[in-house]
Amino acid sequence: MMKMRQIAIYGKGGIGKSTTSANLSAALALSGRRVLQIGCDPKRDSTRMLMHGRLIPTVMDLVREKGDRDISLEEIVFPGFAGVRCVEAGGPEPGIGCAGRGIIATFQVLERLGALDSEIIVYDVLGDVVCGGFAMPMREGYAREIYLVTSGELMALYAANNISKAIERLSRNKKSLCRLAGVIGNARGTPGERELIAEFASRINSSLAAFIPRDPVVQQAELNRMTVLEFSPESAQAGHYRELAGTVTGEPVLTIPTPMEIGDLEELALSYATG
Amino acid sequence: MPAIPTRCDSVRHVGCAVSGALSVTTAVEGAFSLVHGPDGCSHQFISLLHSLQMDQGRPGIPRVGSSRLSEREIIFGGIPALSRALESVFRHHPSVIFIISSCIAETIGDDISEVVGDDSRVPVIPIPIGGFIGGGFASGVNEALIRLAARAPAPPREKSGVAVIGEKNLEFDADAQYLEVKRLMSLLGQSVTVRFVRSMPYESLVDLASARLAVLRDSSVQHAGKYLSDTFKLPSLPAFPTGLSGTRDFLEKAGNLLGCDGKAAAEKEHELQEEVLGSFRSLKGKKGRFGPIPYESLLFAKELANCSGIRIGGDGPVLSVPDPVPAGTAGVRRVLSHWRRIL
Repeated sequence: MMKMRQIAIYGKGGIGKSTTSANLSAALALSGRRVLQIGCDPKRDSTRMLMHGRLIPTVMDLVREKGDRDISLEEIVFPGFAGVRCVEAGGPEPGIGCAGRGIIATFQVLERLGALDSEIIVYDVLGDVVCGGFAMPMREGYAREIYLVTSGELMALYAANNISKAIERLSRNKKSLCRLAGVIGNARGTPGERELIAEFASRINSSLAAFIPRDPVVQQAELNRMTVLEFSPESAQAGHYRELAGTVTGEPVLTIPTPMEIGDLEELALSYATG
Repeated sequence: MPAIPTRCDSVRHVGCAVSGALSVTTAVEGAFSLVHGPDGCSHQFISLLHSLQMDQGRPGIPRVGSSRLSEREIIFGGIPALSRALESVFRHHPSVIFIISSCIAETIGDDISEVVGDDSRVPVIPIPIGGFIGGGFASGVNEALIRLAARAPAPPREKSGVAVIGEKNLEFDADAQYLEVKRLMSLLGQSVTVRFVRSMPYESLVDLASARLAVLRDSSVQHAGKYLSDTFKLPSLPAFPTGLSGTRDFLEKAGNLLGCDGKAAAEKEHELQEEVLGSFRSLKGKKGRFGPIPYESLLFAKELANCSGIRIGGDGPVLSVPDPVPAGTAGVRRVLSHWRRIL
C-alpha cells in the first residue's frame, strides 16, 4: 500500500499559498495521484480555482447550520479540476469567535467522516501560525511535511521564519511527526530573490524546494477561474508547478528547522537589497 | 509568595474572578446572575453556595444561570447564546440581572455589553471580569461591587448611617461578624443602613450613596472602598476591627470620622473587654503554641495570649486562629472559648 503523503503549505498572508497549493494539487492529480486539498483559512478561497470559481460550502458553515453530527462526506468534499477532492474548513465571521478552534473542530469532523483518506493531502493553512489552532494540523500529525512559501521581501521571510519557530517548537515533542520539507520561493521580483530565498532556506536548515517566477499567466488563469495547469498547460509556469510536484513526490529531506534571529534575518535581507 | 503570607496575598484571595463576582451578585435580593461561559463555570459556584446555604438553614437553589457555551459558540461567537439566555432570565422576574463573563468568553472577544439594550424591564449590569483575565477571586469581588455601586443615585445633601462594604458572603459566620460591627456602631449612636452587599435589596443602593461612613470588611475590598471614596466622598475604615486594642482603636477612628465621641465608646468597650478577659481567668499560666498562621492573625493571637496570661512555648498544644480573624470583642470571646477547650 502506498504511503499517504500529508503536505502543508504555510506562509505570510497574500504570498500566494492558495495559488501554489491549487496548482500543486492540479499538477499532482494530472500526474495520476489521488489528491485531497484542504483549505484551512476562514477566507475559504483555497480551492476556488480548482472549483472553477465556486466557493464551496465549508465544514464550519455546516457545523453552524446543522451541528457537527449530521454532516455527510458528500456535503463537505467536492470534486474539482483533474479530480482533486476539495474541502474548505471555513470559520467564523471576521471579528468574532475563535477561528483556530474552528480548525481543530474541522479536523475532528473530517476524521470522524473518514475524509482524510487520499494518496496525497495538501493543507493550505492561513497566513501565519497565529495561535495553537492553526498549528493543529502540524501538532496532531495531520501535516507531516511542511513547505514554507516566501518571496524575497523581508516581511514574507519574517513570517516564514516564525513558522519555522513553530515547527522547531513542536519538534521538541518526541512524538511529533511534523518536519520542514523545504522552502518554496514565490517571486515578487526583489533583487537576487532566488539566491536570497535559497540562502534563507539553508540558514534555517532546509533547502529551496522550488522557485516559482513571477508570470502574468497566473493572473490570467485566476481571472478565468482556473489553475495555470488547466488554463495554460503548455506554459513555462505550468512547468514550474509540475517541477514542484516532482520534488514533493520525491524524497525531500525532512529537517528540524533552526530559526534565525530577527537581527540576522534583517541583515540577510539587507545584504541582498543593497547588492 | 512570602514565607508569612499576609491576608491579601494568601491563597484565600487567589482563585476564580467569576466566583468572586458571583459571591457579591448572588447576595443582592431577587437578583439573577448569568455567567457567560460554559456550564461548569456556574455549576461550581452554585454547588458551593447551595451547600453553604443549606448549612445555614437557607434552602433554595441560588439564582445563577449560564449562557451554556459549547464548542460551537467558541468558534462562531457566543453573543447569540447570551442573548437567548438573557431573554429566558427575564421570565424569572429578577430585581436586577448581572452578566458575568468567563475566561473563554473574554478570550474569544465576546462583548457582553452588546446584549444590554434599551430594554428597561429590569436593570442589567454587565461585569466583564473575564475569569482569569480579570484576576483572581478578590478582583471579581471588587469589580462586582464597583459595577453595582456605579448604579447608585447621586448622594443627597443630608447623609446618614453606616455602610458595611464587602462582607464575605461565603464565610460561614458572615452574619455574626456583621452583628458585632453593628453593635460597635450602636456604641457611637450610629446604625448600619446598608450591607453592601449581603441580603441587600437593589433599591437600597440609595443608602449606599447617602451613608456617612463605610466600613470595609478587609483590605481585599480596598479597590471598591477607593471607588466609594472617590465617587460618593464616603470616608472609610479599612477593615472590621480585630483584637482588644484594635477594636478600641476602631471605635476611636470611627468616632473621629463621624464627628462623635469615639473615646467614650472605646472606654465603654474596654470595660466589656475586661469582663470578657475575667471570664477566662482559668487560662492564666497555661502553655500553648502557634502554628503557621498569617501575620495579621499572629498579631491578634499574641495580644490575646498576653492579655489572658497564656504562656507561649514550644511544647504546648497548637492554638489555632480562624482566618479571617473574627471581628471585635465578640471575636476575642469566640477565640478564647476555642482555646479554653484546647487547653
